[in-house]
Amino acid sequence: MNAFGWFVGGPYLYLCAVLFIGVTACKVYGYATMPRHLRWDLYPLPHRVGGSKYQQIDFHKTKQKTSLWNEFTYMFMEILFIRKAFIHNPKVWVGSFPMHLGLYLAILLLMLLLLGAGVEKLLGLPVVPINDWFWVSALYYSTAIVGALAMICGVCGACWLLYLRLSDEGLRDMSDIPAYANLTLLIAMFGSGLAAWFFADRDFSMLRSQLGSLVAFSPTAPGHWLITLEIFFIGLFLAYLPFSRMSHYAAKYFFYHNIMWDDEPMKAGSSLEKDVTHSLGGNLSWSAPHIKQNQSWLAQVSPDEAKAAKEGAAKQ
Amino acid sequence: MLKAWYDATLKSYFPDSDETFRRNTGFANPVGQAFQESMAKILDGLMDKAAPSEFVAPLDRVIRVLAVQGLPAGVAIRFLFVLRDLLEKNVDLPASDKKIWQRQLDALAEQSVEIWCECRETLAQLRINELRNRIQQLEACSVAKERGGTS
Amino acid sequence: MAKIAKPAELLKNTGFDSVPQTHWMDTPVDFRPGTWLFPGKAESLIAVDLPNPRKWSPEDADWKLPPNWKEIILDGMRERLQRYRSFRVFMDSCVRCGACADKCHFYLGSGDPRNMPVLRAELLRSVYLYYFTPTGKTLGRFAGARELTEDVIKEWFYYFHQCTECRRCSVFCPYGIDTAEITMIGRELLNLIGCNIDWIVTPVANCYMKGNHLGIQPHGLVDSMDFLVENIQDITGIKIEPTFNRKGAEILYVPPSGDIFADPGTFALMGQLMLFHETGIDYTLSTYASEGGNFGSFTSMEMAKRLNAKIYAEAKRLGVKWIIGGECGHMWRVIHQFMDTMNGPGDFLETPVNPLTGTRFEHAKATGMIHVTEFTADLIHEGKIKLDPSRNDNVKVTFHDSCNPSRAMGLLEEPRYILNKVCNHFYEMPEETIRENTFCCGGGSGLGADENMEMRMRGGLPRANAVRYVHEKFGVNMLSCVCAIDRATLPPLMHYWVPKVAVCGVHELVGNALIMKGEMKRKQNLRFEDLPGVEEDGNE
Repeated sequence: MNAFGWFVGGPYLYLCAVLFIGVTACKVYGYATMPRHLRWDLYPLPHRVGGSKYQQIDFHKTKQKTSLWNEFTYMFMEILFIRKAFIHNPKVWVGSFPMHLGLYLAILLLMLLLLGAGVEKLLGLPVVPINDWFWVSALYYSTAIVGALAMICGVCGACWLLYLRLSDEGLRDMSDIPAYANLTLLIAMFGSGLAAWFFADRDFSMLRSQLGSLVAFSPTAPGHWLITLEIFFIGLFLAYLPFSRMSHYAAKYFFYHNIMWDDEPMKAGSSLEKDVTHSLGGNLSWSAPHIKQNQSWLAQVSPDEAKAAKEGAAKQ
Repeated sequence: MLKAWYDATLKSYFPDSDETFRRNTGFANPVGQAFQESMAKILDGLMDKAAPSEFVAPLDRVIRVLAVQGLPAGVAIRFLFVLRDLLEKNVDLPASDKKIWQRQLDALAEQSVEIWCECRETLAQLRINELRNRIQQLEACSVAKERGGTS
Repeated sequence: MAKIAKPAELLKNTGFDSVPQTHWMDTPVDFRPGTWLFPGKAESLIAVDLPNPRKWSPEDADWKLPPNWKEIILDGMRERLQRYRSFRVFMDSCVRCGACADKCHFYLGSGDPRNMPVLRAELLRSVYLYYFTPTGKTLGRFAGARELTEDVIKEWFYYFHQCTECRRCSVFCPYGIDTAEITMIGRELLNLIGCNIDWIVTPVANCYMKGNHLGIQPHGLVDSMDFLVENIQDITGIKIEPTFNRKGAEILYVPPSGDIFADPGTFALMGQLMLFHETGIDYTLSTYASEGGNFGSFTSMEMAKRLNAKIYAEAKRLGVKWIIGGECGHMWRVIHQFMDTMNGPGDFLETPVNPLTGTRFEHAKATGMIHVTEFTADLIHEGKIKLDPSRNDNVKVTFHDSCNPSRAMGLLEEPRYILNKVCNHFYEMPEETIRENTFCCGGGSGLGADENMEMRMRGGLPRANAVRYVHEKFGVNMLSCVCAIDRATLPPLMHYWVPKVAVCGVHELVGNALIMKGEMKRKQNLRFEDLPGVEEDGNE
């Protein structure tokens, strides 16, 4: 048991974390380095103050204000509160919001635990409530509250979503095996966390010391089998996440900033023009009779050629 | 009663999506809206023993939707028979009253078939109109071509 | 009262209880007449060099695909996954929250689950998962992946031609996943193996060879224009002389070609010609760039580029300073979003300046092209034209936001501003059916063919239902819009669902209300119907 516990609490978790970070980084890098695609802006655009410019009759007199701040606040609201689902899909939001909140709180918990572990290791102060140091007790209590809330929110949200998928005929139509599997995994992760907190580790001291040992690269076996189980599911979730459709956490920025809201006009000498020129020089590799092999995109579709073809047709 | 009839009807015509159509009945859900409003009117009319002309508008609204769903006419009017079964099984009333409903429902079925046919004819007519327009355009083009050629 | 029966109980022995319920992946498509479109004619495909021209029908078992069709599709998909970041993230990230499901007009009108945007995307995504992701490769069906078969191609053909690329679903998607893009890619892939529809390919071929979708040749254009000019003279007593291909004009005017030939678009075009005459702007039309619309964008992006190129080519040849585009829908998607990167930059043009008001349309600096309603709204705003809205008193108007001008360029206020100034009775449809939430006419993106009538009626139901409401509540009898496809598809839609409502372009009402210098007393509107109040005058 102890050897297994050590493996899960140590090497296994390292491996999962490396996988998570590595695959996510690859994905983000992949998205970020893709060539420019066609503009795909969908109105209204939040960084245009007051929506589209066409929403004011005399917009051309006033200089169009753009605000990156608006864009970021919108994105923030969307990511933190799942705003669009709240407006358009309230039934799902009831589950989706607590589940996401659970994940965000879990990230916060991780930071608090790291902080606590640091305090214990570096300052030698035990993170306990009775202390002359006010902020250490604050850390203790906030860790406990944030952690408990994270588990409860996560379990409730994921359970509600699973229930909804199973009971709602409309949603059942579009649910497939991965949809159920993802939710089950989330429930297992938050559920084991909740159980570990309730039965074994009310103040998260065991998890904190586990994390401390991990950071110090001297992993130990967790203090309770429930925590081993929790860590097992956390690892599984981390490793699976970037491969699954839940990888939208990596894509959301691109969704918004690069696709839905990108309305950059092309001007001579702009970086956009450079990118487009570069893209036009690329070869089309796929096979179709109308594709001339090994010729650039520009040669395939250039207006001059279109004109020449037209003149040819006119002569006939 | 209305709810049972409505649910059964949606389940029969849209087995995959009756849930969606039941869920929200504003302008965001025209099929649900048409069925719910019209079926309520039909049921009220039956209860009040209204004149046949009162049924035309609500029947028309339902049949018009069903006529473009790729169903045969016989299937399109079956929702009325579902109502008949429902009335027979669930309402305790003297036989004479039931008979009146039966007759009224028969009349409704006849009306429905007429409306259905009219809808299909309209569809065919719309197609013919578009084809005719296209031919006229082609003719206009060719006339222009001739004129352009001679001048 | 006795216990009320359950639906299942009621349906016993009615023939409804035996509906087979199979998973969507296992349900082959049933090609029922009235719901699919005729395939592209071989000669049209040849004219624009599209692959695999042949005679075939979707009803046939054998679609005569090229022998290596599978390889072509998968290569095409790989290419697009590398090229379009949008496509890539759309394929990776849907969590099936269902927000889009009941937002599609085709789903709302038909109840076919594969018309839910989430499943429409899944048609393509399942293949993506199978061939391009490790989970799909290993887990197959368990990961929602499936193999590419001919049945899948048939399904794509059927359902990607039941999406009008209106983008209503993306407004509701928490990520903004754009089904229009997925449909576009789906159609591009289908085009690689020659599975396309005639109502798109033939206009594309026409446009490529003759400059417009209808295939009207230069003299035909001039002839039709003469006809409209005569009509204007009969109504107003004023002779308008629009010019074609005039070098040195300040402005190039590019209308959708449908407006030159088909009612009620012609009335809207007449309104625009009258307005241009009255304001005395220095403009010309082109017989080559005689089409604003771009059906190429419904086949592939390279085709869109090819067809769009003529607008700048003509602008350069004629030496104009800037361009006005007519009342058209998807034309504006192409111009607003694609044109400057496809064929731009249009830096040989100047920033459009309204010669009467001096307004600089700074936002059009990149493309050099503005929408005619921007021009008109500016004129009215600055008080440069005289209007008599009472001439439109016989109509009660509502406004249908066309998908592309509203969602792809945010043009929401200008048409409304104009309508409020040129007529006295303007009513809005319910909020959830207008502006960026607008419902499609059911025939956009090349689906407006007559053989598709039944499907068009299903798809148009949500729009028609909202019109029915304002018709019954306010007596609305005129549905105005700023899209040529709307003007072609909405009249039959109204005829079927709300028979007493007619369709018009916004500028038809402008033309009616416009008081022109030296005009004779107007007795008739642009449709040669008596103006309101004329009869009483005659009796006096």
